[in-house]
Amino acid sequence: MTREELLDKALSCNRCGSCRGVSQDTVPNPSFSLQCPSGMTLLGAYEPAGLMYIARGLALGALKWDKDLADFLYSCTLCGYCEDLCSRGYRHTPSITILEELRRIIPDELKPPSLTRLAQYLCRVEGNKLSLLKAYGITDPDEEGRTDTIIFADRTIMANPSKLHEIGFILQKSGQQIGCFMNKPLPPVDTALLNAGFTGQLEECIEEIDARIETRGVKQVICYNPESLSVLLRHSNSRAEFIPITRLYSRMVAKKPHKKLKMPAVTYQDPCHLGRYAREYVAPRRVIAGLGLELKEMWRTRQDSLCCGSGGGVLFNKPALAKRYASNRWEEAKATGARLMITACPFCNINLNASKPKGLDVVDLTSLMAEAYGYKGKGVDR
Amino acid sequence: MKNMVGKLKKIVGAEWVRTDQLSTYYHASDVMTHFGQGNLYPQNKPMAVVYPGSAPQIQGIVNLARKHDLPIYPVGGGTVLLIGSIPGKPNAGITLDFRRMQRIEVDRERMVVRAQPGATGLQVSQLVREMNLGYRPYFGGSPGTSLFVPYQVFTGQNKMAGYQDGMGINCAAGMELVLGNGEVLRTGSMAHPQAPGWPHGPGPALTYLPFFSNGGYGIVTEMEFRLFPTPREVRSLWVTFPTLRSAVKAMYNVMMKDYACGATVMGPGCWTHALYSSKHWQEGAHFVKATQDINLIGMSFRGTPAKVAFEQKACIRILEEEGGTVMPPWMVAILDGHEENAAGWQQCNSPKICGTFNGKSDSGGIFVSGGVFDSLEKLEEYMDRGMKIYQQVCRENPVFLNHPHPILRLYASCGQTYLSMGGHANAAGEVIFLVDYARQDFLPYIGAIKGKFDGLMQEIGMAPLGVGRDKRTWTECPAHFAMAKVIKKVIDPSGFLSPGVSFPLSE
Repeated sequence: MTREELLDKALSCNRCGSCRGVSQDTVPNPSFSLQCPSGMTLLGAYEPAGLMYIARGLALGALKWDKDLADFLYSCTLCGYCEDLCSRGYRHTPSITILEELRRIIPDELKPPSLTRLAQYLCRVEGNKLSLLKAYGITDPDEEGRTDTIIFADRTIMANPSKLHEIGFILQKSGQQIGCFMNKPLPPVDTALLNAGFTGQLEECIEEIDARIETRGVKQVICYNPESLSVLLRHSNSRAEFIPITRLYSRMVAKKPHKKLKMPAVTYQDPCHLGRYAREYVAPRRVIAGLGLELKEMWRTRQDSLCCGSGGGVLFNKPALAKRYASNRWEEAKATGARLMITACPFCNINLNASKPKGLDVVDLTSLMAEAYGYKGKGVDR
Repeated sequence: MKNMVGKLKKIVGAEWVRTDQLSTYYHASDVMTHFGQGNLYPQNKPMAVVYPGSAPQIQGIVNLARKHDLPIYPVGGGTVLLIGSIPGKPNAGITLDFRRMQRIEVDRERMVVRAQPGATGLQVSQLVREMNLGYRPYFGGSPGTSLFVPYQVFTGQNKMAGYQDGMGINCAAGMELVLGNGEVLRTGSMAHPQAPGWPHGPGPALTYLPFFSNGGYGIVTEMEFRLFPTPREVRSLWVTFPTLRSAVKAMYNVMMKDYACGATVMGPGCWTHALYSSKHWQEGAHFVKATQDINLIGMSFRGTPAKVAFEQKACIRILEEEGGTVMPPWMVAILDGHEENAAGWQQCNSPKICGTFNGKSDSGGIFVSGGVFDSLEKLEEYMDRGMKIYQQVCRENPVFLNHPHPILRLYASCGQTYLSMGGHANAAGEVIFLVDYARQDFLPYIGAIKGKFDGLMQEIGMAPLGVGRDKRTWTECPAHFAMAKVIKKVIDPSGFLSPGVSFPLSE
């Protein structure tokens, strides 16, 4: 992106500040009226318009990169609320594009080493345990030839046996023939590359993914990790359809018999990359209802959902800040009366788990699905 | 300055004083600067941005600033769409950002809602709605979602509910104000813990004093607002007319009967008022497209279902007598924002205006020229002659009308005027144009129109909108502004409170 293009995009924001607040009519606590994790926690120029001013200032030559600017930039979780709200009736500021570009062009010495390491770690094939899926009838397209549907293996499952067992068990119960590149996995991309500004590397990975699924005739790619899903949805040029695993779950609970779960009322955390980025709000709720659970919605929900605080690499780069962001969300969860928060994102799960108040808990929707279908293994992480 | 920052940090805590380049750059401009009014609201950087957390901290800051003659510029919940939230003097003062102070409390006994200056109007409304009291606050004309302005106390009056509930000034019941000498002044309902939720009793209404002073008389640290009953039924009515004159005449007739809680006459392309009340940009765009060549009266009714039905029917009869045609249901079907607005709930308005202007990602802004009239006859003359002036300038500068951006052209081609009526309203006229602030070459055209309108206003004898920054006053009444300056001199002799905002620097 040229400086002029960056300026053109940044000028869309005129600091009206509307994206600081949420658009629902009622809240029981004014602190639930705010939306931007960094803006509401750290104030001032940490809010979305402040970040847009970085782009504006840099493009106009009014600002120069320094540690303070880097701090502003990397306190943002890239939750996407500001862009989403802006597009709903304001100025259509492409905030995410701008923020990702800023993360790309920031001088290397100001890039947090933790994000660089994380990107290299999460997007590299390592500790591959995917062969565990074979026990559940999952086939490898490289061995089987053409495969219509595959599960995309990112790093949150590739080296995580307990989660692999849960997912494999559920996929088997679905009765659908599903494959997975197990012996030579696809590059396990997720947003870590974008968070660290490695857009070039991401493009290379996406090219490989597109070529390999094209070769094997894959028509549908199921993603467990919403961050992988959003990256594939936004960057892949493949003709294959990328869907969240929650959609598979939703179809299953409607058609395949399962036991009803007995537990107190629950609430649901919409993961940003599943909700705002992939527009998947309905399926997880259908699953929760289908499992027999009473859902108590938080005030900030669906497209107005508050980020758990883990996104944008904040969980790894600024873990204490990520916990501060999450604490406001837990307050809101507590106010609903629910004792259990369900989410469908491994990073939400980690951050909310690390910051949960006494008496409240968080659980992965996949674990509940596995439990409902009779899974007895260790993976049920509740 | 380093010494000063150290002292400020001692007062509010080190993490709440920011001098980094982005914080000062960010607080140097706002939506007004980018509304194409850069000359009037230039980019002025503060030396530091301070986030106070309490009234005693504000007292400490005020005392320190007074001692060192350091200008203070307060900012409430965010951008302010009238006068702006940016320093009136470059590189000279500190900006107080109140976002640490967002407490809101509803007092059911006294039927008031108390808010700190960092809260937004939307936050107040959301909380009161959740409580389902059957009452609500009304922030007459105060800009919407992100913006609340107790510190500088907005006194606007637009939108439908405002015609009945009054201006922002009518909704305030009391306030706590830190004066320039560091003293705390509590007025109206906040004068005493048991004081009723009335704006004032016998005697001077001090609550109203700081309105539109924009921090020039002191820093508001808390404010109480009255609550109004929530109407059981709300309905809006939109009627088109063949001529502006017939619309104005019809409006007179409605006024004589005292029907409708608020009504506005709008000339061709009456997008401004429509957008003020729109819930979403599609609603605004729909309205604009539907009203390109027509004169329009928009009004609302509220109360019991029977009252609303009766008044609406009666008004339709009156308006039709002057040649009015009721807009068909399909045309008003999506105007949900107007009903919401008539019901009096807080709405965001002006940011949406920008959004609608800009279409996708083009930048742009609006230019406003308008004023307040003391008679409807003057306003009618202004509307009539103003439209002709506007059209003349456009004819002389075809580039203005032929802007390549289709949405821009749509709006640029329709000057807009309106008059309004209702319980508390004066006649008000406004002509609003669009400029593309990224295209500086547009400014001369805007300047040409503005100059002609300023001349017209003077000729007719009306008060232009806008205060302070371009040496205008609230009302263009010299005696009024002279008195305001006397008060300013008494309570802020050194002029360190918001210099160059409501009170011009030269004063």
